[in-house]
Amino acid sequence: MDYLQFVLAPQMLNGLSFGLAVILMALGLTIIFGLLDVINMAHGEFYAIGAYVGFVLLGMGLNFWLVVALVPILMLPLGYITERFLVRRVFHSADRHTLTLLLTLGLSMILMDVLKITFGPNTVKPAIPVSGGIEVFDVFLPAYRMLLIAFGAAVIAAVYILIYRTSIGAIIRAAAFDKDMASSLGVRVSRVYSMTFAVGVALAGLSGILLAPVFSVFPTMGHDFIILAFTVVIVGGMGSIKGAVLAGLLLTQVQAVASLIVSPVWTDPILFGIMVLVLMLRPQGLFGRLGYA
Amino acid sequence: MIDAPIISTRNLSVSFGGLKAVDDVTLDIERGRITSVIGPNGAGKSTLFNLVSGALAPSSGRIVLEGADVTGLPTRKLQARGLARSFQITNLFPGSTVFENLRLAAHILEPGLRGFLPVSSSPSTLARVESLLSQFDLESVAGDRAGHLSHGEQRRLEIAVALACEPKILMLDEPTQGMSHVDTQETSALIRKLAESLTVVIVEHDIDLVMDLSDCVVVLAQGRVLAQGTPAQIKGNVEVQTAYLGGH
Amino acid sequence: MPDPMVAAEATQGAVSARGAHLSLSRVAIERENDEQRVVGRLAAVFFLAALLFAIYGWLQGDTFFMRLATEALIYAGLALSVDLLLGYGGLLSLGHALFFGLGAYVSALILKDVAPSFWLALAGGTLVGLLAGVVGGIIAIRARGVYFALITFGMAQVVAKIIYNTQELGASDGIIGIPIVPIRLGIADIMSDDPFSFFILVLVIIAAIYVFLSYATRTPYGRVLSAIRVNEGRLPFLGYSPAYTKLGAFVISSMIAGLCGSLYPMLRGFVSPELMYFEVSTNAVIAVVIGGAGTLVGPLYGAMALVFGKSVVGSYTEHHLIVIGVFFMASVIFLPQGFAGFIKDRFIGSQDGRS
Repeated sequence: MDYLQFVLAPQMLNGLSFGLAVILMALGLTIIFGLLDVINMAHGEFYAIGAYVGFVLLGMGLNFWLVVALVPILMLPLGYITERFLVRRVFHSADRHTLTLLLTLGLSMILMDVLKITFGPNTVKPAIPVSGGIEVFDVFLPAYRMLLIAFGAAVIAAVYILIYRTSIGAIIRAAAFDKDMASSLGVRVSRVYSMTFAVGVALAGLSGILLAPVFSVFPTMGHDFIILAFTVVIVGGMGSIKGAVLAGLLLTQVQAVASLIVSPVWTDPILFGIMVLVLMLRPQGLFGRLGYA
Repeated sequence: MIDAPIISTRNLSVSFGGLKAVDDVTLDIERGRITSVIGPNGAGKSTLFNLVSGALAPSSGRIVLEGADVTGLPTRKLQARGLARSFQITNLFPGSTVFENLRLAAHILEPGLRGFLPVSSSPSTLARVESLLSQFDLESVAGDRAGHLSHGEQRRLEIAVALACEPKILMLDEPTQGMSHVDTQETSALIRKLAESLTVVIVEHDIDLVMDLSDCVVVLAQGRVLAQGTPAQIKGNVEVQTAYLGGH
Repeated sequence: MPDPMVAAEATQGAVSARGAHLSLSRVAIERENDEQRVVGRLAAVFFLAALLFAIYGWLQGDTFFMRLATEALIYAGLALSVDLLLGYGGLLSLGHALFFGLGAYVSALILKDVAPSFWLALAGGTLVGLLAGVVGGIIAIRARGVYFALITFGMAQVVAKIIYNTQELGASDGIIGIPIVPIRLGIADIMSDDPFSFFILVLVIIAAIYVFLSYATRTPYGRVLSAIRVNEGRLPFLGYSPAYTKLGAFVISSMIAGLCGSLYPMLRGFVSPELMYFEVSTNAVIAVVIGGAGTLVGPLYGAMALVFGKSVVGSYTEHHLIVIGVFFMASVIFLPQGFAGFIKDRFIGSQDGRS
């Protein structure tokens, strides 16, 4: 009982709050892939940029939750520019998948170095905005973690509603399913692409600032995180929102619990093993693609 | 004496979701003959082709090739048993020249280890390529990239590539699709010539071509066999007329 | 009575008609050879330049640039292995540093703990490349395109992390204190710490790898591999197995990567987990892309440009990653066929009678 109370439950809770942030990141990735068919290797760097931008804003004395709202808004133009001026250049070639992957790879190198120049290689850590916690059933629940869960869930729900319950979302899904048809119906497909990419990037940035007080901020943070984000996207199904949510929750719980049982070194191989298994047995992931889900 | 059929299907079916694309199809393809498969759009002709050529696994039923049960065998193994097919939508290597396309296809006949000797070093492969070039009237474009050929030339190359491995059975999926009248006539003559040494199965929409060329016609509708027989029998078949020929 | 002149002409006509048929194949083959000729010239220039560079360096008594160039050659070999998969098979591997690093570690362990034997270390590195390639290949080949890239990425990360955390393998410090290796060839004896002769040795090895791959891509097997990138679906209908072909290429590629990796400790005297990191894999990919994927000679140039570029830029600023990143992105957007691809296109011109 002690174990449950002092070790397992907190660990699972941490996994849950971490999971929601991972889902936000994976959501952005999966939406970008689902609609644009683009693998954004720079997604980790956008996550890092979000954290750094947030850190700077906090340094200016702004309230944490205001910063959390501002960061994604500030990230939107960055994403838009990236799609409009970089991704679109190689979008129409036959080798699109490879070229966009390589292009975003190059971008990630540049962005990471820019971060290093601007902020130095050292780690910084914004203070946890809400300290303390509450006790439920004798388990201590840190306040910030709880807020993260609540906030993350709200954003995920908002994204889901946007995609599946609004007319904008319908347009996005139509363009994902058949861009020529959507175009002939009067949809400015290129505009949709840029906006969707921007939203995806904003989600990554949001994830960055939300996790910053927990995991600290350093130039290579995106690098380490991206493989987990990709694993979630692959297991959940490229382009599937439901998949990203489910896989995000599942994998972070696996990671949380596994690190209690085996040495933390082995959590990565375990997650990787799950990814490989999914790719071998059910390559489309748990669910299908954005336009088809 | 009646030869055993070279290919037979027994109660062959495949479903996609709830839809039975091919429904309980039983037919025999006679050796050395030209058999055509016709039917309205959506009748399941290409799906049947995909099943027989190993591109699709059936939900139920059997396929027998030269007496051996080959149900569920992958495409490559069927090719090794002498089955080749061409595609309705040209399915070549557009960046490579006509010569290279044919050479790649012809090389399969060489013994395994020859795969590691320099390409173009096998006289028998080269001879085969040259004979195909001449047979299909592609000599003048041998050095051109397949993607730059005219439609008719591409369709001819499509058949030539399938033929390059010297199959026993050649399955042609709408070989004259989009061809001019002259090209169609020439291809028809070519197919008749080919049938002298191998079995040909064709999916076609051009009814005149089918009636003129075939020894045997199979009519599919909604995944089922509506009728089989000689062209004359099919022409006279009332059911076929209503379902397909639309009162000829 | 048939006119002998007409009869003779008729025979002539038949013979030259047949000759014309044969000559059409020859023409097509000739065009293939034209491309090879350009690539061959680029390769000759490369190796000749390398040789001249070595002689110049020897005369100047230089060690730093000689060692840097040797390292560049080793990475060029890795780039060659990546090009085989990417430029011919269309498979983008983002984790090839895995095989390179494993080769380096095995070589280091052999040299340090078994015997300072060049051939044994080389064999060990190649062998581990083979084994890891078979395992990795079986896992990765099932995936296509993007997924393949991500699996190879993941594989390298996972193994690198395991090694990073393994005390017996030196953990984050790696293995240091690799002894100097005497290399006994029939004609001469070389010591691995002699910059000039070791450079020449590595140059010969890389040249051998280049020639081997050049040959391999010109066999029917190599042609099937190239066909995979263009139209994988048709291949089973022609009787070929894309899966086996890909696996074979993957294993050849991983063996070469392991072989090149095994040379690293001999040059630098140590190995560390960084040899398996993403940066090494990406650098190989960058070298291939800017050099020209699918040309084999392009990656050689690309690797040299990258290593020397990094060194030059690095002496001015710490932020060479940005410069490399910009170059790389510019190449992807404006010159996706790379340097060698560009040269090829310039010197071959239009291949068709009508274009």
